[in-house]
Amino acid sequence: MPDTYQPEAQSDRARDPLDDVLASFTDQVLASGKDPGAALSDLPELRALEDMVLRLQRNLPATPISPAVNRKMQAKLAAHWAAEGPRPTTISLKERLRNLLQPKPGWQSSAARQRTWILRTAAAAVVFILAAVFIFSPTLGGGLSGTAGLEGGTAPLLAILLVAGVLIAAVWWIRRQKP
Amino acid sequence: MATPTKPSDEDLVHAAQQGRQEAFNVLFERYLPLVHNRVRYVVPEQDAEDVTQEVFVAAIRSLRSFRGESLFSTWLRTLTNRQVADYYRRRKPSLGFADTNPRHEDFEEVTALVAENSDNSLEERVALRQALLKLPANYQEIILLRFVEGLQFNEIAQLQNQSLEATKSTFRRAISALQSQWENKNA
Repeated sequence: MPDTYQPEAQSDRARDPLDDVLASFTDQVLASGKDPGAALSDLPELRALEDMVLRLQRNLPATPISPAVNRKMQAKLAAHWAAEGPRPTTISLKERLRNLLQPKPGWQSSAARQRTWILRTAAAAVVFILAAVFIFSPTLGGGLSGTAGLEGGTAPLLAILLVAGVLIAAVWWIRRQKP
Repeated sequence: MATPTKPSDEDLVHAAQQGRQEAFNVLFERYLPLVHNRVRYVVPEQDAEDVTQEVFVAAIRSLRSFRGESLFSTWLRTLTNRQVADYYRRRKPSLGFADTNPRHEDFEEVTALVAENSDNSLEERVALRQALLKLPANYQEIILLRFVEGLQFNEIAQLQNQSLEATKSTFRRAISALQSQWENKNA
C-alpha cells in the first residue's frame, strides 16, 4: 500500500501498456523525422496504429509561410488594427483625471457623508458653547441678572449670529472643497 | 554586453491592449507559423491563408476582452478552432461541423494541387484531413497538439490538466479512431 494518497491510482488500474508503447513510438518518429521501419510492432493492432502515426507524420505541413504572404497578411492586419484594434488609453486617462477633479455628491461616498456630519456637529457645538459663554459671562454684557430688556444683550446676540454665520459659511465652503 | 530578453506574451498582450500595434505585430510573428500549420492541417490548402488571417483579425477584435485567465497561446488556439469551425459552417450552412463531407471541394483542391505539384501524396493528405475532421474535438485536439504544434505528451497533459497516463491513453484512442475512419473511407 502506498504511503501517500495517489489521485491517479484509479486511472493507473485501467492503464494499457500499449498507450506507452504508441506514445514512445510517436516521440521517436517525430524526433527523427523519418520512418523507423524496424521498430514497428509485431502486434497487428499496434502495427495499424503505428502506420497511422507514420501517415500523420508524412502529411505534416513542411513548407513555412513565405515572406511575401507574411507581408501581405501584416498589411491587411494593419488595416484591421486601424479600424477595430484597441485605442491608446489617453482619452480614458483624461476622463479619469476629470473624474478625480470633479466634486462628488455626498451620496456617492459614505466617508464624505460622515465627514459632513462631523463638521455640522462640531459647528453646532461651537455655536452652543459661544452662546453659553456670552449668556453666562458678566464681562461680555451677559449674565442672568438684569436681563430684562435688550439694552445690555444686543451686542452678544449679534456676536453669536455673526459667529454662527461664519461657521455655516465655513461648513458650506469645506463641503464644496472636500466632498 | 547583455543580450536583450524577449518580451513575454503577457507583456505584449498588455501593451497591445493599450493600443500599441507593434506589440501585436510581435505576437503575430511569434504565432503565425503555429496558427498557419494548424489551419493547414484541417483546412484545404487554398483557403488556409484566409482562415489564418481571420484568426488574427478575430484576435484583434477580441483582444480587449482577453483577461489573461489562460495563456495567450491557449486563447489563440481556441480562436483558431472557432475560425476553422466557422469556415466549415460557411461552406455547408445546412450541415454541422462533424457532418461536413466536402467531397466536391476536395476534388477541386486535389485537381489544382496535382496540376501544380504532381505529388501522389496529396490525395492521402486530403483523405487524412477528412478523416481527422470526423473525429470528436478532443481527439482532433490531441493529434494537432502533438503533430502540428510539436508539444510533448507531458506538456499536453499539463495544458489539459490531465495526468500523463490519461493523456497517452486519449492519444491512443484518438489514433485508433482515426484509423477506423481511415479504413471506413478506404474500404
